[in-house]
Parts: sequence; structure tokens; C-alpha cells
Amino acid sequence: MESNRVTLTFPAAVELVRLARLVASGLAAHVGLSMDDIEDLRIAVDELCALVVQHAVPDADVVLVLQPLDGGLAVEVRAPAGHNEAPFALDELSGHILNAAADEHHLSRDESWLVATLTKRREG
Amino acid sequence: MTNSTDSSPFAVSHHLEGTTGTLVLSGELDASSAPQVDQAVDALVADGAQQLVIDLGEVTFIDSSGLRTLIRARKRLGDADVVRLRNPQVGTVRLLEITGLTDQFPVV
Repeated sequence: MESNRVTLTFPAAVELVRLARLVASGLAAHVGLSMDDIEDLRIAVDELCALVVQHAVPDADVVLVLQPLDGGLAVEVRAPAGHNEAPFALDELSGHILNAAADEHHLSRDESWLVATLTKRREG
Repeated sequence: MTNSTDSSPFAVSHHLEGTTGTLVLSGELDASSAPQVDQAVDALVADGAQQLVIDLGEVTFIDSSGLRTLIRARKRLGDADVVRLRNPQVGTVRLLEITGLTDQFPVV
């Protein structure tokens, strides 16, 4: 339901990624995800936000959008793309973590924007 | 030698006994706090540490950046089994399992 959507905007700085974790885990608890699912969502959101912050224009607005679904949550993280030469991609460690903690995840980048998404569905 | 850094929500203290360095971490170990651990490891190695015990009993969150700092500590000491973990919490154990790192970090 659109009206249940939660949006957090924060400056692209690694020390503020914990705000995204807090909001994501709080909403996950509110919509009734299990403790294990909440922990999964917390680390999955952390990994995506940390990657986006690393590639965003420093201190630009990072927008985290959390959309409750029937039986889960959809997450989008977006920010203006900076000039990081490294590919906007998950490394091996982050890939393992997101594959285990999220049901789906996706990264995209164009000249202006970074967008990362994931879906977490209730177990069972 | 004992040193500590309070930077809520993360703190690290460390001390050296003989050639064994011990780090006690508390709070959330992520991209923001991992450099504090790197600095503590560097200080212990500079003071003569040849093995490390990293106490994770009070670590409430760890992500891939936290794991990378553990890997860097291991590499700093020659990639041998001389970095051991103490009291890893459920989330830390799960992350080590997911990433296939369990065998590299014995638990004491």
C-alpha cells in the first residue's frame, strides 16, 4: 500500500549508514517480520547503502525508500553518482551476504544516478 | 599497554601481553568504525604482537566492512591461524558461515 511507504534521506557519509539500518529494522518489526528476517534486512540494507555511499557524490542526498509488501518489504536506495572509478558492483563478500540475506537484489547506474534495490520476503 | 577509543556506537580497547595482542570491541562494526580496528591492530603489531585475540562479545552488528578488517588483521600477521575470535555473537557466526570465513578465524 503506497501510504505505508517510508522514506529516509541522509547525507552520503559512511557514519550515517546506521540510520538506514535503524529505520529498516524498525519498519521490518512494525510490519511483523521475524527476528531472523529483521536481522537479514538490517545487514542487506547496510550493504546496499554502504555501496551507494561509496559511489555517490560526497554528502549528496541518499534516499532510502522502504515499501511494505504483502509478506515482506521492498527497498530502494538511490543517490547522485560520483566519480568513483571502481565498478558499481558487489565484491565477493557483499555478494555472499546479500545472496543469503535478501530474496532479490539489483544494482544499476547511469551517468547521473545510482540505484540499488532488494526485496525481503517473510520466511515460510 | 592499554588504549581505548570511545566513539559511540563503537569502541575498541587493546592491550599486549608478551606477543599476544588482545582487542575488545563493542558496538557496531561497519565501514564507519572498521578503521579504528585497523589502527588498533597496527599499534599492537608495531609493539610486537605476533598473534591476536579479538573479543567480539559486545559487538552488536558486523557487516562486510567488519569482516574485511578481520581479514586485514590476519594478512597483517602473515595469513596464518594467529588471529582468534572470542565470544562471537550469533550474527557474527552466521556472517562468517555465509562468507565461508569460519575456518580462517578459530574461536577460543
